[in-house]
Amino acid sequence: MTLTEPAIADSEAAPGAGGATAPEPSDEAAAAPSILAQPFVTSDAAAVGRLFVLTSLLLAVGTSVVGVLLSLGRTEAVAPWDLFGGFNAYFRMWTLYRMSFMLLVVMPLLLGVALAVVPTQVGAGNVAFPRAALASFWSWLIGAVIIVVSVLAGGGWGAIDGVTGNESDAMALTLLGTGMVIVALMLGAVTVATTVISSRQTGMSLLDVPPFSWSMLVAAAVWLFTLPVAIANLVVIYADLRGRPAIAFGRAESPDIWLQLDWLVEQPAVYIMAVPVLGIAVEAVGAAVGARSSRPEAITVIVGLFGLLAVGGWSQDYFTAPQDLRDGLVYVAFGLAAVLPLVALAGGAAELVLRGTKTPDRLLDVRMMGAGAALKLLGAAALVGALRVIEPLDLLETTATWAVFHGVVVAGLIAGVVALRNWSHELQISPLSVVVGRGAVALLLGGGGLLVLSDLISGFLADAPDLMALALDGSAALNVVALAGSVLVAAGAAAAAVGAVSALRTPVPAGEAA
Amino acid sequence: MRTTALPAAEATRPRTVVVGALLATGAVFMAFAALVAMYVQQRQTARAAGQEWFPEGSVELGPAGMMMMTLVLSMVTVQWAVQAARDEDRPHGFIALGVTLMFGAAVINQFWFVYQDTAFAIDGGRAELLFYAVTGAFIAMLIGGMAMLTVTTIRSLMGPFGRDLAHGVQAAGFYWHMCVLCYFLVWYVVFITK
Amino acid sequence: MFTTGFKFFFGLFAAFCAAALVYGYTTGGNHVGPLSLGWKGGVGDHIGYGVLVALAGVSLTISLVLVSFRDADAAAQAHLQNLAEVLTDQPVAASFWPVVASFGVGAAAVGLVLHPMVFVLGLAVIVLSMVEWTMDAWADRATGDTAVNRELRNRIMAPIEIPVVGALGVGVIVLAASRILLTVSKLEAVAVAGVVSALILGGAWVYASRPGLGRRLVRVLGTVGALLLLIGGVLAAVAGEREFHPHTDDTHEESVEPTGGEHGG
Repeated sequence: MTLTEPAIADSEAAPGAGGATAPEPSDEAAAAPSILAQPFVTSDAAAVGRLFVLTSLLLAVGTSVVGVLLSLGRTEAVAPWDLFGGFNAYFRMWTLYRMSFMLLVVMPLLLGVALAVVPTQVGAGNVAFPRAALASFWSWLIGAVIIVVSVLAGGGWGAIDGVTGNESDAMALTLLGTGMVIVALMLGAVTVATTVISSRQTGMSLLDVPPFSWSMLVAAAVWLFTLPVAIANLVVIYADLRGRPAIAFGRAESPDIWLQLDWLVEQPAVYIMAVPVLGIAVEAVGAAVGARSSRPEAITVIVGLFGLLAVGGWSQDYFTAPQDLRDGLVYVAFGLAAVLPLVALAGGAAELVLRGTKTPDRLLDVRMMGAGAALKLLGAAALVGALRVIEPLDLLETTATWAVFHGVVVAGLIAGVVALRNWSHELQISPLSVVVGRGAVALLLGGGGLLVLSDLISGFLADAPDLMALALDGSAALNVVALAGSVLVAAGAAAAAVGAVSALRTPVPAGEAA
Repeated sequence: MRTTALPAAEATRPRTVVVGALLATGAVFMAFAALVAMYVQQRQTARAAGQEWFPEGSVELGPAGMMMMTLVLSMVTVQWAVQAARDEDRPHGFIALGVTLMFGAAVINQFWFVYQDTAFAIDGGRAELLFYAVTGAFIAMLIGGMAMLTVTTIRSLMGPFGRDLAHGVQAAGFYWHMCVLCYFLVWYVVFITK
Repeated sequence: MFTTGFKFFFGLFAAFCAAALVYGYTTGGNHVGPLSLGWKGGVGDHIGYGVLVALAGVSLTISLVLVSFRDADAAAQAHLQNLAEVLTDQPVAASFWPVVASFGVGAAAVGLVLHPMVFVLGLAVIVLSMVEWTMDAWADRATGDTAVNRELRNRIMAPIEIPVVGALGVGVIVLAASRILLTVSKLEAVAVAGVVSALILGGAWVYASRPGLGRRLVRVLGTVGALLLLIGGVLAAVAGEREFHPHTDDTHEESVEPTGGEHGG
């Protein structure tokens, strides 16, 4: 009581005695915010989580459509730059596709799931900083809008073919939007990590938290270790861009801006999106077959190890000779070692299946299918990543880079679909429809698999480094395969988004929401 | 209903704010460390190519040393504030927070002098650009620390200077120490080894 | 003894230390440079080495703090406060200030590129949001009664908020209305002013004579009216003011006489 005494010193009198009295809660004051006001004022982390999930799935549809157009440009039916109206426009979309899938789709999707699920898993009623969670969503959304609008207005992360008019301003806006999105994601990560560390119920040690919460703690730590380095890059690029005409890096009239940031979507940093996928997969498999791991501490170590191998930021080669870094022992070791925790986790998942109930309906459960698909794609991505760092294969600066990227982002999308099915109560929505769930998982697995495969083989076929696959070196069939993969991913993302919207619209049965 | 009959707020998890601030502080430090790493890499590249980084005598060590001393003193005053908050000693707490804010303002003022003294143009070259990027980021971080301390002060004015608030001051203090550590990097990398 | 959080972050520290050493030596480090943070010898690629060393430092700090906090375990914290149990769920009231702060950050970012005025406006919104957010956070923990907490907050902030918001509202209305009146012709300005005044007067009369009128209806009408005024003001500002100064072209209808006393303000 001592905390309020100075503020209400005049309220000692009884009600009606003429003095200022403590208020009784009025009906209006006690009323919950209306459904229209809720997204703007809510302090319920589950509501913020739903906002993140829904918005990121809608952005997934848009991003994957851009991916379809980019793949169409590789089919030689039309020159890629003609399809978008110029070389710069193509480059803008090419970079937007990558940045958007990472910062506007997969990371916020998994963060949204975490905001809703983690508090309930650790026995807290809410996240540690509910208002920070709300600020995180809105800052992310506003940053995303700034990015998309500025890219469409001629901005983006650099240009190849010169800059005209106000494109430099638009580029500056893209950089600021990117910074805003990254800071917002870090704010959400701090909220989730603090919830796991500091809001656990009595008697629950960190070793006792469920795999998803542990994976989110690891992911948040890795995000907080890696994303700030990108902020540092953005500070230098922005100062350079606005201080022009200046110096030899970060000029708008070159892809230098992108080259300072591309480490974010390449290995090892690209794996930072995948850390929560491990937790989701283990829990989904366990829930589907009704089993618990006999060695939960092993899962803890595996997820932690994968998180360690996902830390990037140190692996940027723009300011130094690429061969010094990319042929270095640490880079190669990180690339090769990333396969190990995934193999171990697959073993853990297999153990769950062996210990659980293996009826057909359980094995065909959306969660089971999705977890398997996500782990397969992630494993494929890590395997390609391991091949990529083997110097004699010459895959470093080829489309094999994007095979890793595609494997990781599509695995992240599938994990989001699994989460919608597995944690509908925590998200306070109806369970994702089985048909939609299976369809989305199948489409995403098929599409992701085709993209990984076509990018890897294109990498092997490339005669020279060609990250943008512009050489059109005659691998026409592969480019058609990539197009088919992009279309399937877009269809899968659309199915997931439609499923999420319809689950949101369906009222949660009374008693289940709790 | 008498307000004195109202239930007191339930005891909270004392470490929540500190843990959150610790994680955020770590992230800010990572960003700054990356900036300094870029600075050193570029300087190394320039020197390897036989180029001059800063013109001889353009960056003076004197003001930078004064800033280092000021910030070391501010570490003491921040801890004074934290201890005062723990002891619920309001006068000492306010004085300590006020002196810390004054030290922060003094450092910003000194940086203004350094900028005038060096008279670098941001588009002068890589060295100048990175000089402004690193020191500008530090100033922004310092202003953030001052804002955290100010917020803590405002909250302290709202009620007793109690244990609940002590953790807020502790969190702000943690961030402040990190800022001083970052300045140590600036002092050594930018001003001493030039 | 050693908590899980400590083990994880200390493991990261050890791994990053090892990675930094190997990285330093394999990218050109020599002598004991990578071991001595570059004091004696080179460290190789500075960015990678610097980031890895920073990662190690942050991991070590977090690990030490976590072990000293016992991983912020609930039982340990209850012991710290001499309580049987500590709260894991702090009730937090709904607040729109996080959203306002986010828009402030967005405005500052856009203003940084487009116009300094927008940047300053964004900063002002951020500062305002931080003050209000702090007050909300304080009020959440004032007492154990949510309704009282809300009332306490309002008692302190309402005397500041209401006059400020009122002044801002009046300012916006005056500004928007003046833009409209300065854009349309003289005759139209008279008509607009008359109609708007009549509408406000009429609305106030209806509201005064029918106290039972639904609050929601009044809110909706007020909001729609304010939005229309604001949109009109923005459109008028974009269109620009009409010609006020004497013009040599006598056929210009919008010109006013020098003695007309109208000055465009």
